[in-house]
Amino acid sequence: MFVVNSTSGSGSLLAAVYSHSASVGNALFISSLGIYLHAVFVSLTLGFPLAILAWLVGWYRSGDGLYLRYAKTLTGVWVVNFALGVVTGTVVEFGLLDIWPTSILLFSGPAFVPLFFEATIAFIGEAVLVGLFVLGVGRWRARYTLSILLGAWLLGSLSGYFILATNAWMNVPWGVGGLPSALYPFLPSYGPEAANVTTVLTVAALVLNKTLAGAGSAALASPGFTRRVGPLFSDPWLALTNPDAVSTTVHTLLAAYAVGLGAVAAALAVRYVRTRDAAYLKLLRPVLWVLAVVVLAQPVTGHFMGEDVVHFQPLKFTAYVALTSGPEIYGYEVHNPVEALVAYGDPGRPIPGFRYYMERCGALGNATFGDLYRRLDPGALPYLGPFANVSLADNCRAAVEALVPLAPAVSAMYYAMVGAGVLLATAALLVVFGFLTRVPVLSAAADYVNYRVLGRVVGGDNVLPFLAVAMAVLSAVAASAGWAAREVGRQPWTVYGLFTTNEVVTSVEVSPGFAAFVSAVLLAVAALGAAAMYYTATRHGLIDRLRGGHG
Amino acid sequence: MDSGLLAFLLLGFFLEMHLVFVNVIIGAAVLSAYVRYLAYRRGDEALGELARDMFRVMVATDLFGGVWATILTVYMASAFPSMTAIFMKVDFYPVAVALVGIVLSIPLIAAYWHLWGKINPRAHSALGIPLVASVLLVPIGFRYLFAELNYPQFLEGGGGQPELFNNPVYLPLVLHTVVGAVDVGAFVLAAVLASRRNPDLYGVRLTLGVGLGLLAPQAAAGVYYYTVLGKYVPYIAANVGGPLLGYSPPTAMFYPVFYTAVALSGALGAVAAYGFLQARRGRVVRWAAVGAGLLAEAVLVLMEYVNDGARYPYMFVTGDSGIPVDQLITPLIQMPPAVLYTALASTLFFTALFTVAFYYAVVKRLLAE
Repeated sequence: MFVVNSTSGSGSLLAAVYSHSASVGNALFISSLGIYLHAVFVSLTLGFPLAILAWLVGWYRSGDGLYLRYAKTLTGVWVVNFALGVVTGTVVEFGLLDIWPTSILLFSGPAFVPLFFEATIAFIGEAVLVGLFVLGVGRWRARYTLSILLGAWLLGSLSGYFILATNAWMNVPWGVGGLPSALYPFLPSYGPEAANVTTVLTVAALVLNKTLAGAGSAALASPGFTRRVGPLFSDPWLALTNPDAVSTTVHTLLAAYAVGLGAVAAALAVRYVRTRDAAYLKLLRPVLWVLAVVVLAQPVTGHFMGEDVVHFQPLKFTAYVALTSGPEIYGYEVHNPVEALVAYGDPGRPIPGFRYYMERCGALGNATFGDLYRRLDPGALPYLGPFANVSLADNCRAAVEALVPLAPAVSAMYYAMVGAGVLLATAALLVVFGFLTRVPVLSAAADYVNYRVLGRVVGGDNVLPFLAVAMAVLSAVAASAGWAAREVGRQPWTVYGLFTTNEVVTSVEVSPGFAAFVSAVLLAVAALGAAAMYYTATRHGLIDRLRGGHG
Repeated sequence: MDSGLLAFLLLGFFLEMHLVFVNVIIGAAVLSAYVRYLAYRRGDEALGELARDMFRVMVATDLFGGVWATILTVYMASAFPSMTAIFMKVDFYPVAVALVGIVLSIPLIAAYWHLWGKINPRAHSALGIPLVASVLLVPIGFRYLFAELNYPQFLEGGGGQPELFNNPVYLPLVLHTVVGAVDVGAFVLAAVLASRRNPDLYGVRLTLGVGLGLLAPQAAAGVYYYTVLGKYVPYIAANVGGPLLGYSPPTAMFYPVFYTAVALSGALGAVAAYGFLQARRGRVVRWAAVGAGLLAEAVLVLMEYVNDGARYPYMFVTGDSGIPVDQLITPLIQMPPAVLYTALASTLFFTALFTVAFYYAVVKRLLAE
């Protein structure tokens, strides 16, 4: 570990920016709970239409009513899920504004276009088309209902793109160019120099000022705030053209599809094991096809997302590999051939350790925030208050220091994702070549593993259900762990290299009692939501009854 | 158009669209729970079915009302960042109350629906109480933000500390809102029930009766609210009341609309009374019930336009002046007109599609004949 050798008096100022208080910890906990809860519902909402689509196609081709019956049943579960997603989404959105008010700057700045389009095009369209599909499934012509279903799914995915583009901007603030590297020299340039430097520095100073006084978000809660700042970006489309938005969206959406399809596959597999009714296997096969395709695409998309981390978030990358790099990770550099090969394409290239970043901070010399502002934005100098005397190098080192204790946890989550992903891809290959199609050599190898290895453990008849459940569980583990690694690894910043978590939190104390109350409410929603989904899933004909008995 | 006025109008448009649906949700929830209780007390199965019909209307509207809430929230935070931040700081607890209401209402709606006919009718009727309470928590929380705009207490004392429902404008406003929502919801339900191929006579009579019965309390709540506005926010009172009430308003954009809405309220009373009397005689006058529903929504839209528009050019009103809208608009990004027009076109298209689907599903199909 390191101890920042800060100048006299600046330690407490830096602690106000980089050390989490109990209130911040509570806020992080309830936000994480809310986001994960929302993510579960959203993943199911995005994955279910693919299973419904597969069954409807099966029904239209074969005329087998089994497919239609289950398509309708799953539609009921989909609707319940969608409603729960709407509710938890509203809470997450307002919770974001309420608990992390500085994030309002995102809404009114770089994320305006994606968030506004998400609400006014994707979300509203998806809601209407979900309703139309409920009205039409099994009643209207195939081309109409399939088009509506595809439309709803595409709009849901588009909604995911807009939201994830916003998240991607928080990870890779595209358009701010070299600004972050002026404060943290180890950071790269983030796209074009499209930001108004004066505005960025003024906002940063105002928020910093209030952070030292208790909470940075209070800076916005002033009627005079907008008069003190100017235009931030001239290009409103930056968040959508961010390269990380594309890789993040593709990888995360595929993960969501996998979780939703995995849930359906697991439910069918469990029912099959309990009843030995071949109908469940018949329903399972098309779902597994789609699930396998989605899962097998993940390593490729994940690689592109990982490349973004290596290039744009080097500190996070170092945290990712902490557990496989030994104690050298806290030194200047570390040799980790596997990770270096994946990250750089060169197994011999060293990966920077935390000491490397600390030393890079030294490039800032003895310059202070006051020096920086006097040069670039003298008008905002008074807002800095005592922070004007804090050295830029100390600030930089404090940021690195803030992530170091979290590195083992971030790394554990990263490797949990990688491990789950490898097992998931293996399970997908065993399903595809063992049960869904026959390919010489590959199918023989899959059969060997399925029947000689797995079959001995779970029983020959249970291999396919076992693999289906395994894929469901592993999809959920990979998605949860991957997202946690991405978000915790973003510490100490909320917007990478620009705003820390402490600068974003509410000025209202988030007490343990408040956090417990919110958590209890969220868990109650989760429990009741799960019960509602189970109820809907186990009762055929609910959709028809809702439609007034017209089957 | 002036960018400040455009932003203000867009915010108003999104708010109005949200309220059109939200009032139906509140009214249908309250009336459904009430009629379900009556069904239990009287052992009347037909009443129970009527309560279910009302509940279906609420469920169908609920999701779309939520969609508009999201649009409203996103636009508010985007266009008016410091206003939103002020809400999140000084009105932290009212916002939290509203959020708890949203979160609790959905599982309670699901439980209420699922348990209908499966548990003791008395227990099921009792479940309606927390359901209605959760639905009402939403306006109870969010209306505080409007009271903050009318009478920004955070500007006094300089502390900007979180407030605990102590704004003097709040109580009359929320009273006026809740009574009005139940009233509007009742008239809309009457319109839906009368539109069916075989109109529900008892349902139409009951909903028109409730709507009529609440007109007087709603008017009284309106007078109370206006009186408090006159005391604490004379600027708004002047814009709303105009010369007829002895004021010299700075603009004539609002008081004519207010008196138009009052006149429409009178027409609503007359139409609803006619429909109600005919229903008592055993005849459903479809045009009267549908007209009452449409008039109620029209009055709601006009009154909300007056209530919120009367602050213009200010957003937060203090005495005879305030914090101008222009001062609160985000300078961080230039909102491209193409983005705004695309968003408007999209919302209008999907709202039209929803309206057709709602009519087809709820009025023509989903309500079992």
